[in-house]
Amino acid sequence: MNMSLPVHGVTVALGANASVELRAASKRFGDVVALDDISLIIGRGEFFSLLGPSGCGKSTTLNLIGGFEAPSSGDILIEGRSVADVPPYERPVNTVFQSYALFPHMTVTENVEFGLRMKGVERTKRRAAAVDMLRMVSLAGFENRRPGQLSGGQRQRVALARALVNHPSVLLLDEPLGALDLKLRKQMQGELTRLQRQVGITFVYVTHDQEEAMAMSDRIGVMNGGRLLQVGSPAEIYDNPAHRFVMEFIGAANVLVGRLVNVVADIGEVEIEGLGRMRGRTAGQLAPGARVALLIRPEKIRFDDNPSKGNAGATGLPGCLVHASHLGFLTHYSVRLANGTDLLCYRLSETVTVPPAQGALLTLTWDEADARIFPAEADNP
Amino acid sequence: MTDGMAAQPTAATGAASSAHRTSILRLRRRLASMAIPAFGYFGFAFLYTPIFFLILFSFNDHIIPSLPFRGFTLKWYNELGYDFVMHEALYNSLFIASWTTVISTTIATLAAFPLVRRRYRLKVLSQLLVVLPMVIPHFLLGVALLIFFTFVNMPLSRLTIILGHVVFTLPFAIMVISTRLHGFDRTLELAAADLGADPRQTFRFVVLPIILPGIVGAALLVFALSMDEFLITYFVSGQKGTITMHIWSLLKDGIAPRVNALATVLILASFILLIAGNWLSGGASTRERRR
Repeated sequence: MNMSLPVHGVTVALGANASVELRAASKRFGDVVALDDISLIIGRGEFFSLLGPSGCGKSTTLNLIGGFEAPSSGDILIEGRSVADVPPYERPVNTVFQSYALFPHMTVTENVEFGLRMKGVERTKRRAAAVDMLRMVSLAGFENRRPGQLSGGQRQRVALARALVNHPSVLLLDEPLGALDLKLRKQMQGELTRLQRQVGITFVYVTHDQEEAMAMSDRIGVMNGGRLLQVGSPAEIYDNPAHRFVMEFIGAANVLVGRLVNVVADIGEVEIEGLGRMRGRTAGQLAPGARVALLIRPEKIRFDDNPSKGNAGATGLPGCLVHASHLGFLTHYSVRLANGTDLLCYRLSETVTVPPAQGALLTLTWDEADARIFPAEADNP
Repeated sequence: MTDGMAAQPTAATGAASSAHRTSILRLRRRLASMAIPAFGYFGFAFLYTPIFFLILFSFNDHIIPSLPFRGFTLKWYNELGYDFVMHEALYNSLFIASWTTVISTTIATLAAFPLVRRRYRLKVLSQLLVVLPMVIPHFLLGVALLIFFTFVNMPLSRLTIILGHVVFTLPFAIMVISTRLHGFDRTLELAAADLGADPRQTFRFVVLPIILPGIVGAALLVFALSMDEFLITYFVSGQKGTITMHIWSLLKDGIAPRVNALATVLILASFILLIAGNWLSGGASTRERRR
């Protein structure tokens, strides 16, 4: 039943299909802990993204899988085989580097066939494979150019072809679209996902761009401060963030800080200074009296001139419209609350028939199930 | 402008003096724009006038190389063909320069890697010490080498000349190769390893081809430096002299015109070598940097 779902994340939980597995992997540089006890299973044929801000440990994780760095403790398995002591040139893994790292003294073809040449594949065979791969990344006709004569996007494709021609078990991509302009990046996102489906190779993709990760990935691992905070499909991570950091990093979230009064089932009640009590769903174990943050996404907030329309359990908050910015299909509203906090609300522009004037008094409502309660200290579980 | 002057006298004097000042500035700028190229021409003239006369007199049809020019001749070049002592000296010089080039460039290539890439204490000091011999006078180096060879009981021969030349050319070779290695993107080595190249293959197929222009440039420079060297050679040579020593011996009995011819040939050869070396080490890297 689960197997029929298009979400790869469901099938990989079975373990036997693991392509890459990290077991309690840690990496320290002197006193600095770059990676703290990462355990993760990436399924065969999965498009998996490691997402987080710079310095979160995502590139270090990639370097451990690629073999460019050794873990300080823990183990790494590729296709079920421990590779902790295997040098990069003996791993069934290839990498697309952020800077592409094309060999400047070789032609495009020579770059692409380099891996096969090192494996001892004979000249005519590897030439043919390189030409095929170049056609696949739409670079036919560029065989005899040198990297210096190509545009950024073309170099990116050469780097991709050079890695994929070796048919690795796993392809590692380190922010490969980072150096491209926005339009080209969107186009390459589509091409990368198409290519990944076509070749069926496990992709481990490192990015700090949450939109990119959401658009391309089967599953995403969100990282911060050297720790893996949450792993799940894009929808799971967006709709059910397990940490305050995840909720704030993926999409946008309004934050109201207060003290937890009581918890019934998974619904908690928070006392917020100047605003009174508000309810939301709690994540994890929280004891009454704890300092907590109540987070609500901007698109979940409704406002009306008539508060009685809000649902029965809804929170009604009076506010004053400070600023409205029309961003095309969305309009962003900034509404000031009684305690001075500004809340951001998104509404589809076409649903607003009579735009509220600046200074208008509004009543904000949301479903209590849409508000999340996390410990106030960011990213502590 | 004149309206403004009439209406506001105080402002007008200010404007006049500032106009005066800008005209001075403009004049100064124009002088500077003429003077700077003039200095350049002067510098070139200073460097090349002696060489110009040397080349000129090599074609002068007179036994004493002096003005006025007595007519064009190639007979001094012709004489070179019969100077068999010179032939042997030239062979010695080429022999010494070739071995110096091989030894010096090899050591420099091996030394450049740790000097550029390793992190260690006193790295800056060691880099300074490596290039220091460049500024030690050859006279002193020659004396020091002679004392050393005597101390270790090494008979003076072509070998001692080669060793002496390696000592003074090594800093130049290390400088040229280090510069090339410094600009080397080490991600390329990771990429090679990632594509299955072991460390030996990575060096053979990626590192070496990319730094090769630097190595070739260093080799040409070393060769030219060794060919032209006199002072160190003079101190540490045995029976067999080099071309520079032969010229010296010719000059001791007055200026033989065929020295001018020989010098012209050598200058031309050195010049070609240096240009080729510069093109290979500098030109190749700019070509690559241009994306």
